[in-house]
Amino acid sequence: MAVAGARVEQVVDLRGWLARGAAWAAIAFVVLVLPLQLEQFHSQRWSLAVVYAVAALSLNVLIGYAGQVSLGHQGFLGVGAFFSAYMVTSQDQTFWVALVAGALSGAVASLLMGLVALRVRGLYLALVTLAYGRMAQETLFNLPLFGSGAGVEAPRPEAFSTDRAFYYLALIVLAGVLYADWRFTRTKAGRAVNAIRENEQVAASYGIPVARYKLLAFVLSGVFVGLAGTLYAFRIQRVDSQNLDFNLALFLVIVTVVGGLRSRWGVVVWTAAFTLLPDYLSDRFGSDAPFISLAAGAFLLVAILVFFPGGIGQLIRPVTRWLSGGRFARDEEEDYVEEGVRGRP
Amino acid sequence: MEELLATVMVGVLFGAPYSLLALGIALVYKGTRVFNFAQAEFGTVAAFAAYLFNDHVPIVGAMVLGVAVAVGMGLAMDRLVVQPLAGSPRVTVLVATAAVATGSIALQLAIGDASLRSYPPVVRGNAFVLFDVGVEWQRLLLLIALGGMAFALFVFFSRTAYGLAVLAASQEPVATDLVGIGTKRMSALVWAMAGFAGGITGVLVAGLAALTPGHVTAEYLVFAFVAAVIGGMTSLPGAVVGGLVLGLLQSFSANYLTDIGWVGDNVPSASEVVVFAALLVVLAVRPAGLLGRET
Amino acid sequence: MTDGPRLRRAGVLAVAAMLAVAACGQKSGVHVSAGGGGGFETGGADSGEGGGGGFDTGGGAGGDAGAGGDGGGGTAGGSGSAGGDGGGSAGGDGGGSAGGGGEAGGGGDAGAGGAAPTGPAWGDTIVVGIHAPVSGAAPVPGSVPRAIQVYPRWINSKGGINGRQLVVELANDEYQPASAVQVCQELVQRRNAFLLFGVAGTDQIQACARFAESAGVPYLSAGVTERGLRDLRGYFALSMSYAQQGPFLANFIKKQFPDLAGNAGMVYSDTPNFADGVQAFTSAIDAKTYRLPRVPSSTDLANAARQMCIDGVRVAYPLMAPTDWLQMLRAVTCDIQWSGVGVTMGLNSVAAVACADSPERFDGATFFSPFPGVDAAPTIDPEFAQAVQGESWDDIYVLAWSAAKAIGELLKQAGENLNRAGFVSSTEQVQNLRIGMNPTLSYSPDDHFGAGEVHVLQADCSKRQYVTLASFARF
Repeated sequence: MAVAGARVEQVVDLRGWLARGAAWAAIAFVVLVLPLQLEQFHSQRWSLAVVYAVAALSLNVLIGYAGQVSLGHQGFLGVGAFFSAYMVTSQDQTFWVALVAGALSGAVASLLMGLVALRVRGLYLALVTLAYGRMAQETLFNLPLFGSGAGVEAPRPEAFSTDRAFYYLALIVLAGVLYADWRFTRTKAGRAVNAIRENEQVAASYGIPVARYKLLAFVLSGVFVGLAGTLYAFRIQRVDSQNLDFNLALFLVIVTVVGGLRSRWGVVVWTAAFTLLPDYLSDRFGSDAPFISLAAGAFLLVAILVFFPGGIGQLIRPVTRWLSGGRFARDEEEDYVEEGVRGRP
Repeated sequence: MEELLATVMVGVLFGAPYSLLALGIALVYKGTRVFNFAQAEFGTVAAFAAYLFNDHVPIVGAMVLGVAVAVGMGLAMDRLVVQPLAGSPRVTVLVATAAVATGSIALQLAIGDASLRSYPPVVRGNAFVLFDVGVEWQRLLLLIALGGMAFALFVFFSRTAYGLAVLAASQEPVATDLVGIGTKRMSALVWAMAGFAGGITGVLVAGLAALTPGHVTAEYLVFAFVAAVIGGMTSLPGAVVGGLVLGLLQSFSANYLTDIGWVGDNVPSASEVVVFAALLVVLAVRPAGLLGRET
Repeated sequence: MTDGPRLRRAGVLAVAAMLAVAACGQKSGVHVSAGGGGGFETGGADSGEGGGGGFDTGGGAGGDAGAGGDGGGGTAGGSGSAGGDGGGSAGGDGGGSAGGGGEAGGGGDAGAGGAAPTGPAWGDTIVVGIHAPVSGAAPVPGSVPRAIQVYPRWINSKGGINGRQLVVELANDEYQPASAVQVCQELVQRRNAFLLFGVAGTDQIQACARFAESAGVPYLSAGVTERGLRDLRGYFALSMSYAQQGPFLANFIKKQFPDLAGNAGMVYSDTPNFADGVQAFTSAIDAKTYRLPRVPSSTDLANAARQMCIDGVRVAYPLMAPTDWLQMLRAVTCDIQWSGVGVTMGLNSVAAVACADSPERFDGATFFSPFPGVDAAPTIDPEFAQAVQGESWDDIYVLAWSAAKAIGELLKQAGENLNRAGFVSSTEQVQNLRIGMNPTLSYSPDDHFGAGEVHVLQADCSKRQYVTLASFARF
């Protein structure tokens, strides 16, 4: 069993460090400095990429670490979004309270689904999440509490009223989520969750309390997606149920699996690319076929599942390892990243 | 009393499409142990094909051609998606079928556009009106198709050699191969049948409302799956029963549940909640479904 | 699962190809497509925006009268930044002008005596940003991109608007309010739109209008809901709202169908944006109401249809998405005269499907509309007939022309010294202005719902379209 987050061998000399430093600086420039030079709406687009990246990381915890397929993840994104918006609009709380509320509500909703997941497995769980996502969009997010279908406004605080400022806030949240995810995979809990995914019975026979760790995975996923939901709402300062549909659920599954399960960077990079590239290329070339991208994404997903279970993460692994100080090696030992989707039938 | 009968009637009439689609879902599951999320898309593709063919051919002929296209799609899916994923966990295959469904819908939108199309039923209008409920000819046709397909599939699985071979292949692939029955051929057969079943559903169901991209999936897929689960995923009669039960649940919910003031005011789309709850209840209490036998 | 490096390589190629295709298409989110033909000049760096964020119609009465509506507050950022170089743009980055969202201080001092408020004038191109559901749950017909170019072409050939060229940019809001806000923002920031216009989709119009307010951009649309829009300084309705049409419709029904008016009904989607429309109609006529969920299932629709027939409803007003109504029609087993309001209900694309699916139920249905039918349009506005000569046109062209011409005329009234605040204040002073086919408009600083007339369309299934029953009618 491959160990989660195995440390990368440090093999570098001064030239190597300079090269890596330059690469890091370039990345930092693009991510951190460029938005200051561009118009505001670029920041708004990039914020969406960050929001989806956080949501994809959340789904990665469920599918990648815990092996539980969720086809209704937009239903949890929405929970975080609506609750946080509600906190500010109807309860007169500050944005920070809303952020916490979003994370907590996501955690609670996810925990409830986790309880269901203890009894319902694999395919059937996928179906339950699908039905949940639908019900969430049509009922839960249209409750009088949440505006009876007209949505809820989510005004930003002074400090983040510009799109640029909000983008940096989103980046900070993403960084926090990445860090938490990284730490999680290094803990006993993280390893336990992965063990459960690989073979539940064997894990149980080792004395791992399966139920508890499964629920933990759901809660962690819920916290992440709740945060994503909060950002989602405050990015355009409103949230409504209209685009929290099955297409979004599929989109998240696509970016997570294609990005590469259990590969944080693969997920983040690919989500950003899949969110941004179509917008930018269509700016330049225009297109009369708005859904070619989604179609291609769907086919990509199938191709990844068949050929490349490790996804983009697997493809860029040489680069990410190089950046962390390892060799730029194409040889891939039996890697943690490669296993693809798993789950008890 | 009349109210009750009318509600039941609506439930049966509107549940029949779920049953028809659920038959296809159960068929695929019985034959391959796969949850096919693209089952409804077989239907939409067939309906769109029929719609296009209808410009040159009368509707019945167009429907036949549409179903043929769906069969092709099923075979293609088997070849390109299912077979390559042969050894994978079933959840992987499920995600792949969901991707196929999404891709299909996206392509429909890309090739055509999002606007409404009027898709002609085989016979327009109501056959009769009973308890103030108009019974469209198309819905009657659907009931007949449902009965016919259920019977045909039942006979196929229980009486024919091919049916037994398919079951064997799905349950014990290695042994089946050893005995000389090509599991790949069986797989192709099952998926062709799935395309056929989905296609028939689609060309009939499209005549019940305006046709839009992803129509059958959006309107029926989740319900058909819930219906199949309620009835028991391995049971064909269960699929039929499950669909009708679901239709009844929706009908009673629409007629009686929303009349309760509190529900009507505070629970939007109450029927969605009912369906979701039914799914959870069945999975909690009797996961094998009403008529299923698998644990 | 996979076997061999060859398969891997094939996979890599497939993936790479797919990545390229995925990137070339558009994804749900933002689409800003230039209407057919492409190659428009969006205003260069000089077309700076006049005035700061907000509609200061009084000279320098800077300041915000607090937030309007619920949760007004924070700007959607970037208001007032001109196209071209980002960074320090004139008019402020909207940084921190949270409360300022579009509320002018001390209302009512709308430049007495018609003196245009101060502020730098707009450049030589006026960009009108239009958002519409090109895709989504209730899309507009495919002729929209071509239709919206007819008026700009025509007016520019006549010298433009006070010498400025008119450019129209269309964006797809996908029938989703969140997307509407996003595309509206891009229309303002990237395409330098002077003002925005919403074609259809109540939720989207409302969302974009509120964004526009916070960004200090005037926003116009056909009248739909008044919820959240009544208090906006920069919003103008070009036709009557649902609430305004309620009593009109009631009177029309009483007059046109006197034998049926005693058994009136209203079936509607239960959504806050329709609430004022429901209220207005039901207070003007005694009608049984049938409430549907926001996203009704087919059994919900069948049930409502059945209930209406049992209750003996003879004339009914449907206030819901056309797709849902079309489905409901199929389940109606009794003879009901349908009579309601547009905008989308009155489109020929709806009529075509309805006449094919349920001719006996649909034939003769009447709908109010902001624009006349294709039979009457050329006569009512001969300039339209001139402008579309040689082109094959439909009712979407009528809609587009009618709205665009109204906007063009209002822009002209704003004078040579054109800026956003000035546009708002000059429009507010419009009295009894009939522009082409658009209902006569009379605005005031307190009332931006200035229409008082409707066109009446009636379904004629022998022609599979709507014909004009009356124009510029009052009831």
